Amino acid sequence: MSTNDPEPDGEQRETRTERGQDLSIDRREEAGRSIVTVLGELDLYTAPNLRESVLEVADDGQRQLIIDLSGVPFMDSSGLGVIVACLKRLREAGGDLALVTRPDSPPTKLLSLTGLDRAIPTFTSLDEALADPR
Amino acid sequence: MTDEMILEIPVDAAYAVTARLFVATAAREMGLPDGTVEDLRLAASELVANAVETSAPGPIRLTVLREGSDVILDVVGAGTISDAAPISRRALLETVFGAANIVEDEGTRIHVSRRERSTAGEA
Repeated sequence: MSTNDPEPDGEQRETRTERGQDLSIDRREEAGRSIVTVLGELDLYTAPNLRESVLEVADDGQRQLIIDLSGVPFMDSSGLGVIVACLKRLREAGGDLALVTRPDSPPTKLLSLTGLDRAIPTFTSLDEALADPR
Repeated sequence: MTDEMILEIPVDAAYAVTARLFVATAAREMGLPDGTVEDLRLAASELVANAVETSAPGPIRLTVLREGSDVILDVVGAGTISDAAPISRRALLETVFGAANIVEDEGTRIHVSRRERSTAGEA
């Protein structure tokens, strides 16, 4: 799963894999937005890693964030909690959050069940998210 | 085919992945369709998280058993299902399974049918 990063050349990025269960979080900047790419399952154990990364983006003064969840095969409410916290933080600062999820994937289903896909712009590909003018 | 499968784990978030794997494997073994297997995977994860967040004493005992045309996920030791914001775990599980299919007593029992059903989110 960790070999499918096609980009980026010369982009600022960092990769972390922390704690036992595999969760890799990659951050880069593109077109004035931060993109956080998550690979691995998001649950109570791994969600704190994502929380730390996305709040760091907000702390850096970056207001436009895309969280790419297309490499997340499973997510529970712990992951959703991080997304909601992040959304709140960014919107308070005048920014916004967008998500990328694979169609029919567990994260897509969870976002739909909880109605969060109506509160957060959700795209099926990163290109689509980047093309959205906001 | 087996009629009952049991896993006991400590109250520790690191075991959520183990609980999910167990429940998914058992549910598949009992002939549940993919969508239902996914739902039960979510339930296992939520209930382990619930145990950790409500400081349940544990251990957590997960049982997947067959009862006629139904399959039951019985989780003992995960505490009372939380309703706390921002994401109400109770509301989420009731949306996924239907409130009538979740019974809380000594533990939490979730009934699912082995028949194919539509679970696409129309919540």
